[in-house]
Amino acid sequence: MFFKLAVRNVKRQFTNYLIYFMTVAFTVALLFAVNNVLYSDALLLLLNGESDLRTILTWMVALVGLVVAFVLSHATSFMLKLRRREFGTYLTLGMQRGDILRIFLFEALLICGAALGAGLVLSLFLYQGLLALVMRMTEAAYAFSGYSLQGLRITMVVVAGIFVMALLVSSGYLRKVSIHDLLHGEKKVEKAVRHPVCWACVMLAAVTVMAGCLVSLSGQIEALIRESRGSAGSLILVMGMFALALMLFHVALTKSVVFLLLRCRRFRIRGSRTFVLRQLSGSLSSNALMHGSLAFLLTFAVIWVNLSFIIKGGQAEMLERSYPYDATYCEDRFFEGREQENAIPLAECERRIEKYRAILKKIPYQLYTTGRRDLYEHTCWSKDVGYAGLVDLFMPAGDFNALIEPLGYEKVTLVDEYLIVSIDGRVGMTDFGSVTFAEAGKTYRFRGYTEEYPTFCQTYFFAVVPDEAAASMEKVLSFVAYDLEDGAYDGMALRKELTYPDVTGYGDRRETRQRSDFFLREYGRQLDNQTSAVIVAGALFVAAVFLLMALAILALKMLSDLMEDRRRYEVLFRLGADEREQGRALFGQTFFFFLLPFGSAMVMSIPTCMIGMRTVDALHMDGMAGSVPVIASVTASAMMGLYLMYYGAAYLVARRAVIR
Amino acid sequence: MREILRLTNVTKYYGRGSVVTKALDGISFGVREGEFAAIMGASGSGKSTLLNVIATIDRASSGDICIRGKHLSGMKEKELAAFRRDELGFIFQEYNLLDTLTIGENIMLPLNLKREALRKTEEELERVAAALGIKDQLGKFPWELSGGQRQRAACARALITAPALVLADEPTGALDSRNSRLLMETFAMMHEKLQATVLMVTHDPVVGSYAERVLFLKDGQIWSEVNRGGRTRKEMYQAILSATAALGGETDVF
Repeated sequence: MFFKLAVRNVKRQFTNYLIYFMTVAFTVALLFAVNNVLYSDALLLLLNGESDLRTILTWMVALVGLVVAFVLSHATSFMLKLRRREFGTYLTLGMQRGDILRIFLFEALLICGAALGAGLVLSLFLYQGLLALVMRMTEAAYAFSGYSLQGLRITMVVVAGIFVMALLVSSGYLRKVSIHDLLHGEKKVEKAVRHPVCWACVMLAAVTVMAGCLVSLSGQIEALIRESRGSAGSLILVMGMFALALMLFHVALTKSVVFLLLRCRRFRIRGSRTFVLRQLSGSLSSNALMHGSLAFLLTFAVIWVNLSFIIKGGQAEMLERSYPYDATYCEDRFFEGREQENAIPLAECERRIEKYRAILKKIPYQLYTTGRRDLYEHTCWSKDVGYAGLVDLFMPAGDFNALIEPLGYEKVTLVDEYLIVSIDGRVGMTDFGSVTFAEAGKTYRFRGYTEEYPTFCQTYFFAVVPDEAAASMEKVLSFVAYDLEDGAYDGMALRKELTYPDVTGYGDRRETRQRSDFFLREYGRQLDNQTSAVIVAGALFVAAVFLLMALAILALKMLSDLMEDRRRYEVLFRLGADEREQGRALFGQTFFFFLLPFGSAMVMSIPTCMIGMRTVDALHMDGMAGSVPVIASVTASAMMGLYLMYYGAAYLVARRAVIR
Repeated sequence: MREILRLTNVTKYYGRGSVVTKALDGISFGVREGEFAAIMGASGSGKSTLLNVIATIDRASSGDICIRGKHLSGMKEKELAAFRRDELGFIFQEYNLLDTLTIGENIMLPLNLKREALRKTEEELERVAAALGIKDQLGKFPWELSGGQRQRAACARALITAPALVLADEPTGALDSRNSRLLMETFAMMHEKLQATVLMVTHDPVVGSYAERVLFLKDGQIWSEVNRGGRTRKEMYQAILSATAALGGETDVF
């Protein structure tokens, strides 16, 4: 009998269940699609054994699954509240609470079952789309990929978990709610908020803390990039403070702005403004924490999506800085001073390279040393034990100019001077101004410091000196930069061909590692593509789920309060508010309720964009600076579009139910 | 005194096809300006339907309703809403005060919807709140007041626009006898001092006895009418009881 009743209820309540159904279906589709990607053979091949990325993705799915379970379980309880009068009537007719729970369980089973089916069907296409996106980003050819049984199993487990959690929350509510509250709604006692001006000050303080956190975050990121200084602990602390301030901001906002507007008699006297403000004050203050949490999730999604696209967008520029030439040979970049038994001779390496691409130009260059630490002694890490063996490194200006001129840089001319070249921001903090060094009877003074050039050597820094200064120094590292014929080739395969087993260590500590003396730009590009594909796909997935959850919880919360609203709008109607006035009131009430958490996230796009611009500046990605605001705008617009679509649907449902 | 309300042959049907219920069956009557009239009748006699039709909340199937010279039948929804706002005042059994608004905000709401100026709104609020003795309660929320005070606030809200007609649907239905008596005295005061025209639906003869004229409804038709004339309230009460007994006597079939 209960099952029959449940089926009838689901049919009758379909409009109310629509948003819940859509949310579960989309969530299932997203989860299954991502799980499929995660366990597909295509990704396995793509990641080339990079198990770290898969682990990150697995943890991300688990975290998202937890958030989804929590949010949807509350969404389910909103559905229950939406129909509390009906369940109250069942109780007055003599039904047990367990019976009602059973009916609700059957209904939830039917809805979740249908949503699971719809979600799985949707995900069949979504998965192929997601895979095509990942393949495109990694420049791999897209081919239809089969579906993973493991992915399906995990999705089913997550959905079952969501269902159980929803049931627990709903049964908790049903067990404690009184019949009176079910029939007449929980008595909401409206109270005038005391000291709204104080709350306004708290709100401003929260904004200040948030701004401080963002400034600190920006500074920490910059310090991390420029000086390799910073810790995960302080980043987490700042993010935690930011989250708390965001919550406090929402609580204070609901207790100040609305009440301050209510005090403004001229503002509230027009039309249904008093009504809207009072409706808002009730719904906002009772949902301030929920709003704060959603705002944090949405802000997180905005930041991550922006960051992932900045990483993706800046990839090409970073590649140019990390690999200025198509291939670079380094004789012994670790400066170990030992023979490499299995090393592939350079001629053989070149032959292997030519199998892939013709060598157009070779530029040999060297690094020399005096064996002293005239320059190192002044760096911040000169006293560190790990840097004890390091000595000054020098490159003759002739070699250096041969390297930089084909890249479009101006030739460097040095007369009794040296120029410090580095890619490590910490070196820039060293004051070399008064440091001189003597070589072959001549003294060389400091000409300047630069981070302008790309990475030519894997060293903290080196000094460019006139050729005659290097003539008497000991040669320690030999390089050859190769310019290859244009066109794509399999960098991974070439790298493999240039790799050999290298034995390191002594006695019992001897071990064999795979080593290559070449830095290949195409290999780096393919590797970057894989990483950025995972980051972008992951960010889009998390953002989509968080956005969906926020939209669902706001829409369902709004609809669950409709029972009370219907009665209030009926009074408005009787007092002479026409359909337009009622529509305006409902719009004001629902729009601000919906907009608030999203509004803060959208506002956060601005500091995110600013931090992004400072970050790319710190990374010397000048070409990327203009793209950061574009990325922020596109991300915000796309999210806003989705948000408005969902709000539109919820508003229309509410309007149909409330307005006469 | 001129007529504020005139109903001519008003009928109201519910349902379609073979299942049609005739809730109002050719009702015609009028209410004069400043009059306090009541409608009484058994459950299902059509009194609430009649009130809803006059209140423009429901539309009559046929016939004409004219309030202060305006015919409701040809009006569009938007015009009806403006008409409700400007010409009618409502007092409901369950007070229907908005629980989220203070008493003052509740009373001012019709003028806000009318977009009246702040000064006039506050003057009118002052006037009706003083007349109904709830000046001290304006900053409170409905849950902070007793049932009687709430109903007086509802009266104030009904009167603030100085409507042509105040419609009251079982106004004492949710009150105890003491508060019922106090409310009816308020109604009498509204009628005498503020010259409000009141049309009230009730099933309580005591409440009905405050009215100047009582119309008895039966099966959607006006069955009889009792006028106060020179009667005291007690005599009016007796007359209502007699009419009710006669009304019941005709209906009961043993």
